[in-house]
Amino acid sequence: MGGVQYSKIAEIKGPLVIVDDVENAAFDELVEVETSEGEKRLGKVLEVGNGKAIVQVFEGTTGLSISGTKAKFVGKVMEMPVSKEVLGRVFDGLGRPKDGLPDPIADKFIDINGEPMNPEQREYPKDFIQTGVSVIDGMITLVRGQKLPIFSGSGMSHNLLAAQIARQASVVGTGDDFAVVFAAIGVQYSEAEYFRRSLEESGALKRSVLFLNTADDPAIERIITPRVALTVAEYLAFELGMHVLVILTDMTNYAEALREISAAREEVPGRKGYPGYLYTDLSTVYERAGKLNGRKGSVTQVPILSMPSDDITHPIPDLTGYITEGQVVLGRDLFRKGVYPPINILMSLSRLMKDGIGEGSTRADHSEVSNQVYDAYSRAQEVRALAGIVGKAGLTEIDLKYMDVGDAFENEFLTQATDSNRTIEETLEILWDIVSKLPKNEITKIKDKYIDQYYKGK
Amino acid sequence: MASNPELEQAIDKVTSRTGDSLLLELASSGAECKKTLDDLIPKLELEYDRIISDGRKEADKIEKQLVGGADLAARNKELMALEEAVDRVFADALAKISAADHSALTESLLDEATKTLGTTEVVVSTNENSHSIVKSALSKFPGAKMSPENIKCLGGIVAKSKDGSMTFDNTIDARIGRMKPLIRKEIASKFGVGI
Repeated sequence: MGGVQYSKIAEIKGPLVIVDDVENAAFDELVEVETSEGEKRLGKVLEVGNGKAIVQVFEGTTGLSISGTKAKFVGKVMEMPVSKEVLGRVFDGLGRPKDGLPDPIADKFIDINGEPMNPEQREYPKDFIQTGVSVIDGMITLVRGQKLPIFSGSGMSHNLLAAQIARQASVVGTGDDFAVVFAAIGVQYSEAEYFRRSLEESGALKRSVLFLNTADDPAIERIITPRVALTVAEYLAFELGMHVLVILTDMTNYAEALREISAAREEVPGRKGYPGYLYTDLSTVYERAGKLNGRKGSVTQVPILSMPSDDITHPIPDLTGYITEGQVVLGRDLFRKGVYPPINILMSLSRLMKDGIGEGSTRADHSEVSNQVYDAYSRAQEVRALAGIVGKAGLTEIDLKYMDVGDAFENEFLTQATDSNRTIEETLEILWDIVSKLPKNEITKIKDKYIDQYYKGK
Repeated sequence: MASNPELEQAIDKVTSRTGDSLLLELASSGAECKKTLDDLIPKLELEYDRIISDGRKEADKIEKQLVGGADLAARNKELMALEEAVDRVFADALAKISAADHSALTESLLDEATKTLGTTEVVVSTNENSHSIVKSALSKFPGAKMSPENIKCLGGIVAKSKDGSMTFDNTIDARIGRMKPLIRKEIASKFGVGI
């Protein structure tokens, strides 16, 4: 049984408190750390042995002293109270109400570390989610139960995109309930406020749950934020049968917090100082997405991470890419051109797209028209590079057509207002407008029957 | 003035030719106008459809915003009212607990505390009312001592190891604190919430 309070603090090191003469403490056990002024902070046991317990304090150790600090081992792991009431609520990074309302009346208390999904029980994701963002719906389609990260860079418009997806995302063609769980990890106050207001003003807040850890909140709290968010998401999905979209932004801040703890524990650093278990740790977050056989709901994840120096080989995007099912990459060039959303489709991919589109989910010609536009845009990029050397005058007529296609793709398809919510039909129409700028003999990836039906050129 | 038939003929010819050409031009302009208008009809229809569809989208957006906002405001008021009711029940229950006699509980609370701390060599504190009851129960716990100072609580005890490094709070207040989320759920279910 827990509940014993210890007052022998051996050491305070970074975000860690080392407690002496501890008996019967358990790994991951919740700890209430009390300062000499009576302020209570939460933490968890990272390591136990030789009568010592290493406690990671979520709210940081600033102001703690060895003499006045007490640590009470609660006897259980950290749990999140969940019920349907959490919808429409705003919580802080540790799952405490931040909207002035009382704690939710819990239907259940669930361990925030979650239970691993039985691989045998997993159902292959194959149902389309409409985000209302043409480039995602049309060319990097998101399906229910998928984990599709957005790789961004410092200062780019990933937060605008995240908020737009959260406002607009829906499941098409079913009456199933849809919810959004939004976890802001180490974002600026203004960004957190933007997310909250944006969901509130669009009426989407009532089907959303927000977890806000702002930049001035303790960094260590960021380890917990995605876990409490995913706990709520799993409850809504697998207990209440809802389709839940989880947006985690910014996972780079999560990895930084992990590095901070690792450094304080004097662990052998891996690449760029991140712990060697970064891959394993990230997988404990990302793998909490999917669908279960015989259950109605699903958890779909869109983690957002900003790549330091736009470096896609950085350990965070690199390891994330190994775990997730594709990636959406934001391009600095497009961002500088003023294109929103600045998604570089040539570097982006949704590995599960092929199973979520086509007849019965979007439209029979979806896959082919998307492939054709992808191919044409890729050719347009080559032509642009060539034009940079030989000049536009040196290009053939067909090269010039591809340049037009590239421009049309960026200006008419990619570019979209932040409040524009396009249906999949509208998206496919624009794709056909672009394809129709090419002569028919250049269209090699679409069946004739679809060309006859949708081609708009002369 | 004498008439000049040749001149009149020439004038008639010019007038009739000019009239014909004017009529032709008017007919061609008319046809052109009709064609332009005909060509514009599908565009107009498209534009009309677009405006209607944009309008519908905007209306949907505003409806969602208004309905969503109103739903949330109503739900939040309900939550606050429920919390107020739960707090009232809680306060009443605490008042009844503080007036109750906990002497029968004292021994089991002491037993639980010493087992949790792993020793009976403890210093025990309690409130003024329970002081004598706890003191007499201590004889069953070898090495246990009574703290000279009383604490403020509804009942129960706080046990501290003799070196002061371990404390176990087994007061009624602490026990209620530990169980509070479950008790809230229980009270709320009596109001028909969360069943």
